[in-house]
Amino acid sequence: MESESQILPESEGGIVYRIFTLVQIVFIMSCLMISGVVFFGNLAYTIQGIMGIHVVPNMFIASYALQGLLILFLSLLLLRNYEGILEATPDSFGTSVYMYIFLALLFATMGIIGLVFITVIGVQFVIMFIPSVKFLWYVEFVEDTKPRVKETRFTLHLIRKSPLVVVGIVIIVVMTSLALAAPWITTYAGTDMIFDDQKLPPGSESLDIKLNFDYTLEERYLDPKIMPEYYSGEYEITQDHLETVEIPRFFIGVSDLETGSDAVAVNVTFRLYSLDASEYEALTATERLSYLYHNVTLYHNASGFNADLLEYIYMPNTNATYMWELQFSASQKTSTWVANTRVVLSYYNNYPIHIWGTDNYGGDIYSRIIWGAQEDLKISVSVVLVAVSLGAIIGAASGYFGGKLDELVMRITDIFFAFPGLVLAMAIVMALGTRSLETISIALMITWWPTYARLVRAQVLTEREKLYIEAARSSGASDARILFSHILPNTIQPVIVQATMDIGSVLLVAAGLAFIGFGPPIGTAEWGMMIARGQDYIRSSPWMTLYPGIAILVTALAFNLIGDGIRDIMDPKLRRR
Amino acid sequence: MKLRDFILRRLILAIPVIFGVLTITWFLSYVVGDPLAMYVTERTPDSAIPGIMLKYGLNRPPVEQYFIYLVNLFSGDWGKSTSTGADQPVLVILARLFPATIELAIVAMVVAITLGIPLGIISATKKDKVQDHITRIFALSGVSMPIFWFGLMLKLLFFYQFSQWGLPYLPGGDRYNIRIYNYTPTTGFLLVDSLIFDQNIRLFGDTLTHLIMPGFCLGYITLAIITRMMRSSMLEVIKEDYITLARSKGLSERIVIYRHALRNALIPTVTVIGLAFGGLITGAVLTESIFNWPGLGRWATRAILNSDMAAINGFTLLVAFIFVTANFLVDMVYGVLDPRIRFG
Repeated sequence: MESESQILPESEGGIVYRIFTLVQIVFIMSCLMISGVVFFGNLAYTIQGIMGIHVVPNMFIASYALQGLLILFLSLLLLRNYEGILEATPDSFGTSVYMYIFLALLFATMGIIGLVFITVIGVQFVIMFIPSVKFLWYVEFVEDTKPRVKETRFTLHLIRKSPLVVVGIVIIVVMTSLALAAPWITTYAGTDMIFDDQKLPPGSESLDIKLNFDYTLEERYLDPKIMPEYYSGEYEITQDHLETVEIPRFFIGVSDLETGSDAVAVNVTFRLYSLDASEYEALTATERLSYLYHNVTLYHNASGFNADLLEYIYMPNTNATYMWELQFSASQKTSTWVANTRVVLSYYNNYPIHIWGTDNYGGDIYSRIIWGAQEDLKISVSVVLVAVSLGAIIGAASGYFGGKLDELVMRITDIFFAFPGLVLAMAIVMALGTRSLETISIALMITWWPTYARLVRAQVLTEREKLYIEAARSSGASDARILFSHILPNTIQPVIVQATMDIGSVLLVAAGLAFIGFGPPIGTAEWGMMIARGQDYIRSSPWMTLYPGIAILVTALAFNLIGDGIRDIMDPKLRRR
Repeated sequence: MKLRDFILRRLILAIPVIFGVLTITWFLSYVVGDPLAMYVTERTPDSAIPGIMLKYGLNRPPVEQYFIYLVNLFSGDWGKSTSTGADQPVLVILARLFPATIELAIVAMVVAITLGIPLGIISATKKDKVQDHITRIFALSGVSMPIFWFGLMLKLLFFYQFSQWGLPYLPGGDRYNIRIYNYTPTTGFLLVDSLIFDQNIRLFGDTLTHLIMPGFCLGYITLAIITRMMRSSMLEVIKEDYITLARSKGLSERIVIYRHALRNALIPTVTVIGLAFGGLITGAVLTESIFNWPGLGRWATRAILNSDMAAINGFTLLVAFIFVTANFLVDMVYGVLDPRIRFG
């Protein structure tokens, strides 16, 4: 509030304070610029896309549209707050602290550019805690936040005391981290189809095998002047190489041997000893021969005979260390040799095990569930977020201004309520035509906002009549200010409860839509589609439907547990006895 | 306000909603979607398209098209379903399939009510005891259950596995055993037809066994909602003064709960039951395709797969009408049960 402001003489703020104001305005301006560029740039690309001009936006712009919008919003608030900073109001310093925390979190998702901004935020934080600035705001800020901290602590205490909420939160945290960690913890990509592995039961090994090559020597040109007497190397056959269907083998290839215009005859010899490097060093050449495992020689005749040395040497099926040597020897000196030379160990190994089996296209159920968690959580959270913001704005406006607008909005929500959610979403997806997870999300957003509009409107109607609103209005606050700073924060609690539970229901409806055939045609890992894929094979391979269903059930249950729990926790009637 | 006025007011309020529903379906299918798809199939020659456009007025301005659409709807022309093979009129199919779905929904509702209300009472009277926790988790898992998956799992266990183990198993699909019985629909409600018109007790029994699994599957979500509502309203009622009075009069706990508390706690539950009926129709879309139930839901699912615009449009309209009617009836019942609503 303005009433508490105490305008300080310039001398008391000092030079540090003036530096702070300067840094902050520069920071705000650059925030506005970057977010504006990102957001409006993305908007332009989207409009172009709708108009049918297929311009592929820069990855940087495409992925940061939402962040851009939020940063734009926050930095506008910060700019409004800046007036208070200039007047050295303690309140506005506190607001800046909160804004900085939000902005830092947002910038943390923006990669290298975000890092620069976070550093600037850090600098401002440090300046704010320099004594000559700190005394302006710190004491009052702590005084102000005390009740809030106490309240939060009490809420956390209540949450800790109710086991079901804790279970729900744990499940959601685990699910989210699994979804985020998908690239590292899954053994297959979500879209992988391994055609040899169709309908394998859980825990079975992959039937598809992969050929691996370990290059120990690869040389294109051989310069006789700097060439060693022989190439050599140690190679260890480990368990990795032996986990295969066929035993590993060495491959020696010397091809296209060419001695240029000198036309020299060359002997190429490859020897493999069952020795390790230290033993090999200790022995002389003749002593080594008793450990010879394999020996190949090729005589390269200069007069046209140009056979290649291509030999496979099968290794025994045990762990062991081997020394190999490859020797080129010529009877006379030459200037250049050219030869394609390589020594390779080739071995087969299986693709990783299918923990929860595979589906009829050979997709790994476990990996697809983890990847599907990304898709499903993304859909349900984004749908609820958009529906809440849309519904809150419409409902708040309708409840606050009342009259004809209210009547109109309520009739429109009535119409939306005349359809069951799934059926309306079906009709919308059908009309939009494209079958994809994005279309499902859009349809659900359109379907879901009236719930929140109604909820927020009812809350606003009761809050509107309260005394503190009257006070705010009589002190000259604008409608927008009363609505956004006073009424909306007080209506947020039932919205949070509803939204938490709705994330669960959106998840169910989205999965249902994908199940009846509205998902993208093939490939994408999504739980509902996985069940749809499995239903025809339920008798022979029930694991195809079992696991994704459990994933949906557990996730939706967790959201419902949290929602059910925090309804009791946030209820002011039950909160304190 | 008298009850008659109350009903009249609600009826008048329902009219704009109905028109809104019509407008939304029109907007979705004619503005966002492709209206031509309703009348054209792959078998339609290209030369016929201008004629169709002219016949159905698809080249006229949107406002005019909207009125044509309304006129068509009210005169019974809901388009032709292209996914049913013989391109039958949507309205005919809807009339034919409607009873099967309603029968399933009613059975599901009966299951939900007969199980849900007692569970809610138990949960409320044994608050914070083991029974309460079990019931709450049961109810919560019902709300979070993907119904299509639940149906598949029921079918897997009670049909496939039980038949494999040689146990008496439940039938996994259809309304009755088509191989044994002949059935010509009279009202379309198989239970009614078999008992009253055909007087075939064995067909009646067969129908009942076919109804168990889809009925329970569909009813489970509603069951969960009813249980939750019953619990919370019961808890609220038990705190009231008149219950304390009844107890202090020396009435037995049984009579206090079932005579005094239950009656008052039922009022909000009735609303939920009515509203859940719409949810049952939605659930039927998913359940029917799993249990091969020849109703609206399975038909709609097939229509989706075949991009059959007219069918989806008709289905959406019908469901919306059912929903509006259900809400209206709930309002009525609520008004009768709780006079405060009428005068409020």
